[in-house]
Amino acid sequence: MDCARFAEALFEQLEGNLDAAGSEPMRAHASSCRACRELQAAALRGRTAAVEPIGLTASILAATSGSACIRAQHLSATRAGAALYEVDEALELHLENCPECRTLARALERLQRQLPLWAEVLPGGDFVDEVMAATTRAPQQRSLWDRFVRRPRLALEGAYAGTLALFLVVGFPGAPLAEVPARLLTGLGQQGADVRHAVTAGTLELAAAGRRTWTESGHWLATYIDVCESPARAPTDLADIAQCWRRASEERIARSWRDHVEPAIESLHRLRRRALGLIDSGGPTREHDDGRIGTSV
Amino acid sequence: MLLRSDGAVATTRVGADEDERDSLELETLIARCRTGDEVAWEALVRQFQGRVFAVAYHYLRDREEARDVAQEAFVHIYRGLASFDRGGSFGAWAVRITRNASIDRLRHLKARPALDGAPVDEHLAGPDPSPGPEAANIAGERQATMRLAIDQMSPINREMILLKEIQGLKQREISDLLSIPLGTVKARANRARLELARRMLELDPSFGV
Repeated sequence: MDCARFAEALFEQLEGNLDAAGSEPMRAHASSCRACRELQAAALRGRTAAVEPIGLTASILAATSGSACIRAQHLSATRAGAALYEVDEALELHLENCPECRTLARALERLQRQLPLWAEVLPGGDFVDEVMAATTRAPQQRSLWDRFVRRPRLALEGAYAGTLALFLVVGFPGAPLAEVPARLLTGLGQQGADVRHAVTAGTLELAAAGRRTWTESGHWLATYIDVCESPARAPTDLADIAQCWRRASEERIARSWRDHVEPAIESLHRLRRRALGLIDSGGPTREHDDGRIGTSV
Repeated sequence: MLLRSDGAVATTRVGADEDERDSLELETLIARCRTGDEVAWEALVRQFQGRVFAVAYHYLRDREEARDVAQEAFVHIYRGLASFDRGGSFGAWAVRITRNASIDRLRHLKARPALDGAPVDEHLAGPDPSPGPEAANIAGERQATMRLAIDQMSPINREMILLKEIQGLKQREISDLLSIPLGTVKARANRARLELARRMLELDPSFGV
């Protein structure tokens, strides 16, 4: 047995695959070869110590398939990305013996544990309230017409279109309705004067009615007080005085209301109808015999 | 034997039940939102605000812009609830809407088309670190390093990290979202993971210890 065969047999022995007969040539070789004897002793102390000095695996790979690191790293990455995986004993053996791949595999596993922690980052503040305001509290899907009408520019566009249409109809000398604005302005000027006149007259009439009511009531009250308080006519029963005064007051106020205020109110109604008539139709007006302005309708 | 990616033995059945329950609750919530239930909609916003904002922030790297885009995305989601496919994942749908809104905003801004060299809000650089001043300091540094490593990645790989690793979208969902074949998604995801791990080890060799 030479040294190389001794090393191979040593692996078999460490794996427990060598029986007593198979071990005999090893003993014979070890007794005559110091290096192999020391190697066997070291191997029995620890498996790593036995493998590393020889570098047999690396030599074999270099002479056959080449380095297994690239494939091992690819398998490590696949394993890291899988939720579940089957244990690959060959990969485990490679990682056990290759510090570089082992480090990379550990980094992959660590990343796999830490990256999912980044899945959520809270925006903070009132984010949920803002989203709720932008969704449920906002106007929902609107109809096409509604969306068209509610466009911010609609008013501007409408004003532009209206102005253009007005110009085309009345805005230049040859336009179809070019004379309408002038006629309209003249009529409006006359009717405006009529309205002003009617309002002024109505105001004055109402003020005069108020004045008359107040004067007559005051005059009557003064007279009545004089009569009631006269020693010659003084009644003995105060309740009679109160009753008399209340009845007289009611009659007087009712008469005063009927004679002055009601006509004034009726006059105001007529003025209102007159004013509305002027605005709506520009109908003819006439003046009453008593000087008040009234409508012909 | 089945293991999870963090090395723990998988408890497949329990996990599946939880997912199923969450999915049913979300489905109920969405159904209520469709009937105009404002309480349900608010709950849905609260549940997904962090995710939507994180996606928007990943693309825009500006807090205010991201907030604005997140709000815009929720308005789109609200209006599109009626058309949402019940068989699909709501989370993936929300990510898709937020991604589109973010890209639209980026086009509008015309300032940072590729996100390279964009400033980072330190307080938004990552999740809240673990408690304790020293631990918090180390964790904060590591988060900043990780953010730097992500910033240094190619845009394609960076997006893959966002969609696959951070947001946890399925490969099929990413394939639909980016309109690329499923096989390409798998290959890109692997490349992205390797690139990020290598960049992290360059910036912080102790990351692999």
